[in-house]
Order: sequence, then structure tokens, then C-alpha cells
Amino acid sequence: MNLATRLKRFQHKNTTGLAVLGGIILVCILFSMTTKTFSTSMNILRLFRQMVIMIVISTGMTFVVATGEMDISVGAIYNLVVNVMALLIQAGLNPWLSAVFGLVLGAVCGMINGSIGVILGLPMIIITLGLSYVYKGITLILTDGYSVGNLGKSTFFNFGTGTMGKVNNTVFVAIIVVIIAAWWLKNSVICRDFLAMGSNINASRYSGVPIRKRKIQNEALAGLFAGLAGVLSLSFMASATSEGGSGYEMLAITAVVAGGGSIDGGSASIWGTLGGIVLIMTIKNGLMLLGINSAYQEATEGLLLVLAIALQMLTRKKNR
Amino acid sequence: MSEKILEIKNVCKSFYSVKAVNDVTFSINKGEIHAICGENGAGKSTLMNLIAGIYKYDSGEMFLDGKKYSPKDPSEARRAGVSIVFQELSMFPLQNTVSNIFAGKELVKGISLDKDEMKLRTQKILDEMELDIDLNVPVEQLTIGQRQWIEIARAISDEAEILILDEPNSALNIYETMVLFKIIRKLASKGMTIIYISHRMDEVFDISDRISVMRDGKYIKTLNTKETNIEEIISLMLGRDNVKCLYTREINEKGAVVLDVRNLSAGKKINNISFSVHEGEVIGLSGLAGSGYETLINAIFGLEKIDQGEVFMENEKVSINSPSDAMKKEISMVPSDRRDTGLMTSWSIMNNISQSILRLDSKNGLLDHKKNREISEEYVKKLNVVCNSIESEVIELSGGNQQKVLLAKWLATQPKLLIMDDPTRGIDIGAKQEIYQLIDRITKQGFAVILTSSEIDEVTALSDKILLFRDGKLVKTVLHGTPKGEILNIIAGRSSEKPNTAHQEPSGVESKSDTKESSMGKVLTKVKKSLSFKESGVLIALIVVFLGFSIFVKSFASGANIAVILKQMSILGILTFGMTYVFCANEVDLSIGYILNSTMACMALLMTKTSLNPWICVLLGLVFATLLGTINGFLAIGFNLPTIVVTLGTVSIYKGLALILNNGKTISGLPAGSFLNMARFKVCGMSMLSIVAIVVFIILTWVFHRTTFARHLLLTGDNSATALRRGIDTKKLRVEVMALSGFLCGIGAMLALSNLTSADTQTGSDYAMSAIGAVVIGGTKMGGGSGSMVGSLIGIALVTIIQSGLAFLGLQSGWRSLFIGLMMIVAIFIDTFVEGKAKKSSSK
Repeated sequence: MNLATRLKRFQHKNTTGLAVLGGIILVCILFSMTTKTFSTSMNILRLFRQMVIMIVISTGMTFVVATGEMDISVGAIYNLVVNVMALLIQAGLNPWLSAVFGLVLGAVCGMINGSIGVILGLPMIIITLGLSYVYKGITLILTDGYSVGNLGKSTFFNFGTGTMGKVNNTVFVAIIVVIIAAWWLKNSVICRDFLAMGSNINASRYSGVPIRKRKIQNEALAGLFAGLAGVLSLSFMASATSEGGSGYEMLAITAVVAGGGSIDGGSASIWGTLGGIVLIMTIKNGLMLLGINSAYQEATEGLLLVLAIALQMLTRKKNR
Repeated sequence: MSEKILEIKNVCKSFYSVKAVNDVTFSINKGEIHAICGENGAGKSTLMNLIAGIYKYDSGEMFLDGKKYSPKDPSEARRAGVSIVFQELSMFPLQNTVSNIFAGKELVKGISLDKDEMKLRTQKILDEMELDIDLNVPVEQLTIGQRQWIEIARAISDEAEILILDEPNSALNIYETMVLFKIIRKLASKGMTIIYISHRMDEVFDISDRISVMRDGKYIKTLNTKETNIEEIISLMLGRDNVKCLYTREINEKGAVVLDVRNLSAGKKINNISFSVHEGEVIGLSGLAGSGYETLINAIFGLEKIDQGEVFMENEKVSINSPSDAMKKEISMVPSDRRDTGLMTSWSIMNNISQSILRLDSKNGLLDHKKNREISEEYVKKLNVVCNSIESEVIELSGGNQQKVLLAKWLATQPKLLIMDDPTRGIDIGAKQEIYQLIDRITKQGFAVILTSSEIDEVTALSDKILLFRDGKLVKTVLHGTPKGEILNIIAGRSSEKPNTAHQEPSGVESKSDTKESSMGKVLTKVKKSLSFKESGVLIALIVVFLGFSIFVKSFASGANIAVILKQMSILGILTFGMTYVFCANEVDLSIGYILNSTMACMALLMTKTSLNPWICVLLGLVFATLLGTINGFLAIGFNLPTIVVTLGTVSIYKGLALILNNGKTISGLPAGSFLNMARFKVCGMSMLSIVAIVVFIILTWVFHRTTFARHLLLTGDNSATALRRGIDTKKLRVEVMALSGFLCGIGAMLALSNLTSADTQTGSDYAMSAIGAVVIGGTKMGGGSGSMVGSLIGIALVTIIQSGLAFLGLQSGWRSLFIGLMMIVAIFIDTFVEGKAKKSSSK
């Protein structure tokens, strides 16, 4: 193989990665120039902390998109976990124990998604559309629509607000999660099966992939990551609102697609997703600093999703 | 002598460098049944596709009725009088017979569909064919035979002069075939010309007047059926200088028994099969398509359910329920279609090869990249795969090399038994030779092999024994080197049972029509039951819920509350009717709530900020809403995405748009006048809102049942590929239906604005889910192709009443949200369940 084709292949594989990286740098420069506060260390540290939840949720979503599905209930699961945990702590349960419970709850919700999806044989996007309302409803019923606060003191909350070298502890958790997930995606049979299902579902059936089982596992994984995001969120905020988490699923899908995960499934990259979410959160942060109306921010989120998908479809056509 | 209807002169057609049809010249007489015979790849199907306008010929000429004939596409061929019925049926499974026959060429009277005329004509055609088919059931509930006849009826309704039947009976049983032949004869006697392609020699001789033989893309000879016999046709098909498979495998000493299959049956497809495979042995399987050998290998590999019989691997009884079970028992299968079932074409060679061994070799569920690389490199070298590196994507390789990768993938599992399903399909001679050598090599090493091939030469040259299948039964076992003619005679020729069945013909037909009628009757009652079950079930639920709330909740049934419910229902109902259309086209629109919200803001803004007449503002608002809907549609067709994904994005955009318009605040202070009075104006005690909603409902229901637009939507939702082939502009339809959905949101916004007298920021936020829930409850299917406007009406009534009741009970938005979500899932569940039952009953 000569150098030219090698170079071409490298380019071909990493265009999205480079584009996202370029995008992040560009956006950072732009906001540094237009706002006084963007490049302050306080803002950057806050930005890091704000990213944590979305990084964890998007990482879970990466596995779902890899199989060619989309899960739009992760935001609702995330908020359910936050509220249930808060209520449990309020009722006197040890916060760490309730964190474990939160993780289990997230995974169970995911398993319910997956099982119903397997039984009904419909795309997950439709199943999770219905179930997201169920989770939202349960959250509202449990909390009566009120915020849950006054959770007392605990090492759990100390951990969430604590820092290491000025960086919030949860950021490190998110980084560790990303590293493990990236390694796992590359090295595990399960993840290879996820990718196989997204790439060619018939061929994976012929290759012995236990498709139904993997689908449920896949959804459970997304639920678990949403649960973990909930745990991290509560440990920092020490309070829960009944309206949290809305729109998170969309941001997560946008991040995965922007990071090079194919919306038809079959390819996905945790690092790409990380780049995607950093880009999106930076844009959101910058818009906020610029004092842009929240309406424009809302519209920007939708626009970014459409844009990310559109770009992927357009570049793919070119490659063929 | 009869006149020539179709003359073909020196027609050629090449695909890439392969001449599929090479200088063919012959003619078809008017009113004859003309059979075309030839081996796989002889060019029959290509020639038929040229005649039917699916391909264009490269050179040569065709004359139809003496006029030059060169169709651009199938619809032009159809207009010229040439219709083709394909091997695979291309139908709209959820539509009834009439819709199917007139798909894409609906008869209209004014702007409305002329249903009676279409039904009448269908009935007339079916009567002429002496067929009794229930016109009211979806065709998916008919038997395959009946569906085949509908396809023929469709050709007749085109007033076709030439009807091409390309292996029409490969899926039909013997009785259905007899009925088919009766129809064909009848059509021919009325002057229709029929071109018939089949591999079954006995049938060709049964039905045809003349037979033309093709070989290697060339026309060989036309014979009168009466003056020839099966042997002569087969020898013409094979050619005098019949080049045998260039390879002959030496037969090895047989080892121990590897696989032993005893009395295996699977469904109706295979019946009581027994055979065994030894170490170092190649067992060939052969038969026509649908003869059962494909089912047999799938059953052994765990892809098909085994009903009866036993499978032994190395004298140990095994039960195999999935491919991974089979792989654990050291059985591997190289599937026939490398693109569909074989490889991940966008993956690297290494990942493809290692995919099959993951489950067998991995430790702790982790991949061993080093080992995978070694194995991949080993097999790439062994099989001589030509590639840049094992990192290359499979799609970059030639067909032959892709096939080698596929073989490597399964050889790497080092199975005891390797099933190879047509391993040389679509690859060049050189690669074929390499695969032959490979089979020789691995059997010398003691692998046991089951081989199938679309080329009989290959099977005879490579196998120790060849099992021949016909109609799901193992009819004969022949040995290595058996001449191809003899094998063709057995699998395609006159079977020994034939005279027997012919003898029973009268009684067979009778019993057949009996069973048909009774099963038809069952299906019919079933369908009627399930239909009435669906809608009346929801209606009963509606009544029960309403009565329940009225009894237990004070003042629920008061006039004031009912008026509130009706108003709410009117607004939501209009959106729901739009959503019904969207669902029928197999789309979903998540953005309707925020289209409504931003349209309200838009209208209110125009009314407060400009001095325009409020009604003009409403009109502008309607345009605005339609525009938003159209954007959804254009994004979907532009990027070829499902609308659910597109609207997931646009829902945020429109939400933002609404917030931009109303600046996050309620817009109030609308000018007093006829617009605001509308919501308070009553006719015979009914609010104007409800009247508008009723009018919209009536119009939409009429459109739904009576127009080509709605009919085409249903067809597109049912089977968009076929719809496209029938000349329906599916892209335009997708945009139109999304625009319609947007427009109806505009109407809803108008009513809501008049009712609330201000544009707030909350209205509409969960309308999309309520509408989707109502549509699904009302019996409209997820996945398109069918829908019920009345069902949606009842559905939205139920949803609104429950929501209102929950509010009355003091259960706030949480319960409403929970209820919407659960309702949707349960409705889909019931739908799937009922439908599954209906399907089962129809298949029985």
C-alpha cells in the first residue's frame, strides 16, 4: 500500500473527528473574542462540570446508535433516577445506597424499554417515545410536581461538590467512564455484536448473534448510563426538579451523530461522541454568555441535530 | 398461420462486460402460450425484462404488432399492452384486491375515486377468470395462489395483449398450479398472448404451444410442443458440446459419520428427510427453487424450526435452536447471499473473518485482537484473498474475493461440518476454480461438507452423493458424476408421482375449492370480528370511562364541563386527523404541538402588532403553519430520513421559534371582534369550535375514502417500493402529507387562539403524544398502509375524556403523562396481538 492511499484512508476515517475538533477550536476562539467571560478559568471549570451529565448520557447513547436504534427516553430515565434517589435520601436512606439503587433503577428502566421493543418488534425510537412519557409521569406522581431538596449532609454530596485541583470530582468520574466505555466498545464481544446488528442485522443473525438478548442488554446499558448521570447530577446539585432532563436525549443523539456515529448503525466512536458533546455544550455555554435569548438556544439545539444528520448524509453520499 | 404479435430482432443486452442477451431473434405468435426454457443464467429473465421495459436493450429492434417497440419504463410497456408478473410478488399487503389491481391507475369520477366502477371491473375480470376472491379483505390474508391470480388480474385490467409470467408457480402447490393453468388456457383462448417461463419441464409441456430454448444468452431454437419431448429440450438447453464443470474432485475415503439426520420435517416445506454425512465427504443438494433443500440446511443451522425428527452430530443427539447452538456443535454455514446474510460490507476483512469465532474463542467476553489478526492473516493467505491489507473494507474487494472472505469467516471456526450454500454464486471462473480446489483440500483434511449450487454441473462434479429434492421431499439420491440431463429430468422433469396426481385431478380440485371456501369464510369472519373488535372495543371503553367519571366524579357530566371537553377535543381532534394521514403514509410527526404553538404566537403577533384584519392574520398564520409542515417534508426527502427523526429535530426548532415569537410571554390583548367571538358563538347549543372540527372531520374522512391522494398515501405507506414502481410520486406525497399535517395544526391554532383569547407558551407541548396515542388507540397501524378516521375520532374522545377526568380527580399532569405513555404502548400491544392472531388464522 502506498503512502497516498494510506493518507487517503486516514483522512477518510478521521474527517469527522478532525471536523469536530476544528469546530471546538473555532467556537472557543469565537467566544473568547466575543465575550469577556468565556475564557476565564471559572467559566471553563463550570463548563467542564456542566458537561458531565451529558457526557455520560451520550456515552450510553453511543451504544444504542451503534445498533441502528435511537433511545429518546434517556432524559426521562435520568430525571426519574434523580428524583427517586432524592426521595429515598429524604426518607432517610443512606445516599450511597440510594446511588446504587439509582443505578439499578436506570438499568431496569432500560431493560423494560428493550424487552417491550423485542416483544413488539418495533423500532426503539417509537417504544421509547411512549415510555418516556411513562417515566416522566411516574416522576411527577412521586414528587407531586415539586422539587425535592433539603437532603441533609453526606459524604455523597461532599464528593459531588468537592474538587481535585480545582476540577470538580464528577468530571473525573465522567472521564473514567468515557475511557472505560471506549475501551469496552473496541474490545468486547457484546459491543462487536451491537455494531454487527447495526451494520447488517441479517448477517449477524447468520453469524450467531443472540439478537433479542443483545437488544435488551443494549437498552439496559443506555438506562444504566442515564442512571449514572442521575447519580452524578444529584451528588452535585443535592436537589431534584420534576422537569429536569428534558431535551437531553436530543443533545445526546446530536453528539453521537456529530461524532461520526452512523444513524443507520454499524459504526460509532465514544471519543467522537465526546467531541460532539463538548462542541454542543461549548456552543450552549457561549450563547448563554452572550446573553442570547433562551428561545434561540432551544432552536439552536434542534438546528444542530438536523445539521449533524444532514452533514452526515451529505458526506456519505460523496464517499460512495 | 397465426400472425406474429411480437418480433425480436438481433436484440443484445450487456451488463458490464457480460452479454446477458446476445443477438436474439425470434417471434411470438398472437394468442399462443409460448414457453421459454433455459438454464440459470441463460438470459430468459433478462430478455423478459427487456420486453417489459424494465431494462432497455443495447442494440437490435423489437416490433409489437408490426410497430417499432422500445419501452422506456414498465408503465410505457403497460400502455403498449405488455404486462409482466414477477417471481416475487410486488403487492400492497394491507390493501384489498381492488386497491391492488388499480394501484397507480385509479379510476376517478370528477375528483372522487370511482369505487363502484373499479369494484365492478375487478369483479368482472375475476368472474371471467372464474375466481372467487373476497374483494374486501387485505390481500395479505389471501393464499399465495390467490395473490398470484390477483397479479394476473391486474395485468388483464391493463388490457394487456402480452402477459409475461416469470416462474409464476414456484410458490404454488399442485392444486393452485392447476387453477393457474386453467386461467392461462382461458386467457389464451380469448386471444391473449402468454410468455411463460418455468424450470418445471412437465408443466412447460403441459401448458405451452411452442417452446423456445435459450442458452448462454443466445436464442437456440423454437419447437412446437407437440413435436418434441423433454429429453430433446433438455439436450438443447445444455448444448451438444456441453462443457462440463472444469473441475473434478477425487472422492476420498469416507471417515466416521459426522451428521446424521433422521426423519426431519419442518413446517410444510420439508417432509421426512433422512440422510447422513461422513468425514471427508461432500453431500450435494439440488432441486428447483422452493423444493425444500434450502429449508433443510437452514433447519440444520438453527434458522428454521424443526417440527419433527432428530439430528445427530457424531452419534450424539443434538437440539439446535439457533445459529449459535449450531456453531457450538461445530456446524458452520456459508450463506448464499454474501451482501445480505454473509458479510458486513462496510467492515474490514479482519473484523469480518473474526466475527464468527468471537463467540467460540473469546475469554471473559473480550476480543483477542492479536489472535484475530493472526487468524485473519492466515486465512487471507490460505485462500489467496487479493487485498491491500486485512484492514481493507470488504466492499472494496471484487465479488470473488468477497466470497473468499466469507468462506474464511466460516472456515476459521474449524467446524466438523461445513454447509456451503451456493458458494460460487456470481463470481468469475478463476475464483470458482479456487473454491473448488478449496473444497477438495478441506475434505482431504476430514471436513464434512454439504454443498448446494445454482449450477448443477458444480454439484455433480464436486459431490460424493447428490440428494435431489422435489416438493419438499427427498426424491432420489444419485452418485458423483451423474449427467446433468438425468438430474434435470428428476428435479424438473416428469416425476413418477405425476400420473397419480393427474388421476386424482377432479377430486383434488373439488376438495381444494371446498377448503378454500371454508378457510376463506373463517378468515372473513375473523377479520370482521377483529375490525369490529378494534373500533367497537374503543367505543365501549369510551362509554364506560365516560359513565364511570360521570357517576363517581361530581359535576363531571355537567354541561359546562362537557363543553370544555368538547372544545379541547375539537382542537386536539383536528391534529389527530392530520396525524392519521401521516401514520397511513408510514410517517410520524412529533412537531405538531409546537407548530400549533408557534402559529398561535404568529397569529397573535400579527393581530396585535399590525392593523390587519384578524382573519387575514389567520390566513397568514395558516400559510405559516403549512410552511413549517412542508419544511419537515422537505428535510425528510432531502436527506432520505424517516420523519420521526426529522421532526425530533424540528420540534426543538419550532419550540424555539415559538419562544422567539412570543418572547417567552403570553401574547394577549387581541382585538375584539368576530375572530374572538367565534369560540363563544353557538349554533344549536354547539360551540363554533366543535362545528369547525366536525366540518374538518367530514371533509378529511371524505378525502380519506374517496380521493386518489389518500389512496396513494395508503399505498405508499404499505409498500413504498412497489408504489414507486406503479408510477406513484412517493416523495411528493411525503411532502404533501407533512404539509397537510402542518396546515391542520394551523386550523387548530386558530381555534385555540380564539378560545383562549391569547397565545401562551404552554399550549401544545404534549399534543403530539396525545394525537399519536389517539391514532394508535383508534386502530391505525404503526408502519403505515391502513388507518381509520372514525377510530381516530373515538380515540381522541377517549383521550380527552380521560385527561379531563384525571384533572377532575385532582390527579395532575404526572398521571396524564403516565397515562398517555402507557396508553400508547398498550394500544400498540393490542394491535400487534390482534394482528398476530389474525395472521396466524389466515396462514392456517
